[in-house]
Amino acid sequence: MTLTHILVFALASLPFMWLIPMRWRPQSLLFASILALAWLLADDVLNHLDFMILIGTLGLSIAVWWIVQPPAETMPTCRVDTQTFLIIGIGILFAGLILTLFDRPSNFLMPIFGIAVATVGALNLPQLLPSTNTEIYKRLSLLFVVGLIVMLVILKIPASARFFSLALDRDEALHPTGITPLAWLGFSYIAFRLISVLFDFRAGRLPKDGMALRDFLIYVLFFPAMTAGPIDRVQRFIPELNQAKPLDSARLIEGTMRIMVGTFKKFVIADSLALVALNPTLVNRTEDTLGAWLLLYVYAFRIFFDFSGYSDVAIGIGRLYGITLPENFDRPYTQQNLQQFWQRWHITLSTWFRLYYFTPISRVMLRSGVKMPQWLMVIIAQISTMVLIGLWHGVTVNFVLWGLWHGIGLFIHKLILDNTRVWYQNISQHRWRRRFIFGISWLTTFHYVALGWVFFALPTPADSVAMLARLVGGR
Amino acid sequence: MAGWDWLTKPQTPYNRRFVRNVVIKSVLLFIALNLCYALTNPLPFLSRITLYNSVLPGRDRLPYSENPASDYNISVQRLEGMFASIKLSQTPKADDEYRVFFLGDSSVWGWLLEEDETLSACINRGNYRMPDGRRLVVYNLGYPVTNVLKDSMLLEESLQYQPDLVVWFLTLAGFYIQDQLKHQVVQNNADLARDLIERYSLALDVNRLPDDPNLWERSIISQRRELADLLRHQVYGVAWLATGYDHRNPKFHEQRVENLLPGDDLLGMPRIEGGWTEDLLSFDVMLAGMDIAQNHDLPVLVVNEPIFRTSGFNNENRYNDYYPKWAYDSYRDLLASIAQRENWHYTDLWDAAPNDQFTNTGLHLTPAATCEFAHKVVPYIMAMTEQP
Repeated sequence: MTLTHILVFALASLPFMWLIPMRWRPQSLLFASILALAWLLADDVLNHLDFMILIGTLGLSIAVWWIVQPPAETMPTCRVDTQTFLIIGIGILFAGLILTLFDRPSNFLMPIFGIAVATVGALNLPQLLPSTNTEIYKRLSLLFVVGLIVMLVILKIPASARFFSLALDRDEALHPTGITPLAWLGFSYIAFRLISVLFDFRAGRLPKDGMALRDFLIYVLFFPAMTAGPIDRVQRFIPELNQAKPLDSARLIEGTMRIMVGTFKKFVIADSLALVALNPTLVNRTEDTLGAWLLLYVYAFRIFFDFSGYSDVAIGIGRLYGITLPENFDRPYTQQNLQQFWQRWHITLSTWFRLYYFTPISRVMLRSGVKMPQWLMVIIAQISTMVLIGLWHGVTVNFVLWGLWHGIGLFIHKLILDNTRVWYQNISQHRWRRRFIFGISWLTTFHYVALGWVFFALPTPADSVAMLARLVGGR
Repeated sequence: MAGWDWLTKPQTPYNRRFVRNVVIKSVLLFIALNLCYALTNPLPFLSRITLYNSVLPGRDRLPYSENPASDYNISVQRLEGMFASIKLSQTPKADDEYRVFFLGDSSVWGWLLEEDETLSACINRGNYRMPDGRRLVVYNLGYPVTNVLKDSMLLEESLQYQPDLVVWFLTLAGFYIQDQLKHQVVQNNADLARDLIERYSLALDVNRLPDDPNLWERSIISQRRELADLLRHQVYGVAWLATGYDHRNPKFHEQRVENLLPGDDLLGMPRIEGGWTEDLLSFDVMLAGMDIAQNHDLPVLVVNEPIFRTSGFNNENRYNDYYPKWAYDSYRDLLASIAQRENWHYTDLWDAAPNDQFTNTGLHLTPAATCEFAHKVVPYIMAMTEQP
């Protein structure tokens, strides 16, 4: 999201909330989300598959909704509303128009496709409703989970992303600077929202009476959270959507303030720090240890202000549209241990992994019957979780190393915690000793996290090793 | 969430009146702030506020960059800001210091050279002592533009830093009348340029300088780019401190032109029969600069800097792609005669560098040749304390 996007999204909330009647808001929000997605795609200059990505995002979302719907007879008929499909069709038409206005590769099939979707949806969807055999859908959901993970991996590996980009658009001559790797705007977030829904469906955690397609699509496509999260859960989002509040004074102040704070964090602080934050060129040029530490500290703050700034903006815009998105960052660098850090850093992502990976894998190991010491189970669960969080950012060796770094750190923290609990309770009576320990813990946690950024910021292990060497005085 | 309690749990609840008051106060505050800013015009003052020489060490040469992201440097346009970020501005003059300022263009600033490869750095590394025992300490006040008006403005600004001598490196291109007012440094310091032009009645059209900025142009909104650049200049200091890079020195760069195009025009201008006369070049600007120095009892050593002299195609008509022979030779003659008339300390070192040591243009030298040339200048500096 650029400043223009943020400004337009924020200003558009005023006529949206003041002029559109409450009963039309969800429909309007879906329509706005499709248009916003088209605009965000159109502004992404490296992308050349705008329309395909738009259709792909909508198609995947509809497919997942279709899978997770309860059996037809228990579902109120109003859930399949032709109105929603009409909105999607018209939305696609307008999206095509937006892409054409932005001189993006257009396709004459766009309007035809839009009309076709609307017609088919309006006339035929009721016949495509799920049968009562839910087992088929559970298998299908697993297939979709695997498919989404495969797509995520393909998109996160530059070579495969380029291969598929080329396969989907062979006309390289149209792109003078060459075809760029397929970049699916916001897919990391979209995929995780869809996977969470599929997992919840398998675990029977979804609402028993299903979800309206319109509401489900808004959950996946809600534009403030499209590019940088947070990753909400559908069980929380849809009630929030249905109970959307009017834009009163409190929401206006809170939303605007969050947007302003977020914009300042991202576009003033983070973007300024980005000029000198750790990168491969700087590592190679850095001459001394002090300089290397300086670059690392700058990077640590840059990434915090960048991520949390975007989250603030998303939460702020959401609030202006009457929806409270979950918090994503809560003073992570002031925490006294790594566990607390991960409870405050990218909260929705770490919660997602705790719910859908860490807890299930721990449970599986406990119930598997395989004799395994508890510490080994902890280390396997923690390290694999952190490695997967690393891989979510990109499929590279360095993200694996970053995950390992945090996984090991969390395990060490647990060991220390288990062995110092009594001692720690004793010192809590001594004010100054306690403060001293807090200070040391904070300093250690911050530096452990900061050193981890060496793997996150640099593209190769060789670069990371070179940087770590400089940090300890090597050349 | 606790971190946002200040916003979400206000002491007095937000209501329409509160929103209205916030909007009105914000707008008024915004207008008032811009108005105050515009009325006080604090940019020259703000340019002096810098992390350099306090949190960060001072830079060795004036900030200039065509590619800030890879140079970790930025072109600061106000002279106050330029000086505030270099070591000179915060280095007290020692009792045993003989302080010399090098003025000139990119060859003095050190194009394609590291900070420690410039003329001034080479001389400072030599640990020279003047005949009277003082340490010779040279400061690089070169700036990558050939323009004697800019040099004169820098000279005047530098007087507050107690120089004992200025060495002014010159080349013909710095005297083109039509170019004097073009450069950004001159345009962005139009107040100083206008003052200089009017004080010395220079043959330059002050109307080509931007007018004094009006109230709107002095507002924060209008000056946001300058303010952002000041901020970026500080931020780049961190990367510069960590790496020592202030100018990207690519492994491969364009080479000087050996074989020249036919003809003997000067930038499209046909040969002037009889060569240059004093009024055809900006010698009045240089005379103004010399007068400023003289008024402060500051000696100036004028040096005609080395140029590349091709032996390639069309060498009978031209020295290099900048200079046809008729133009350059008559410039040298004119400069020598004016120097004699005005009793300047002048030395012509136009051929003091080997031809194969020029890099991308006919003015820039390799690090080795720069150092060699620097050491050739030293005896002339030494001689300055012995001459009246």
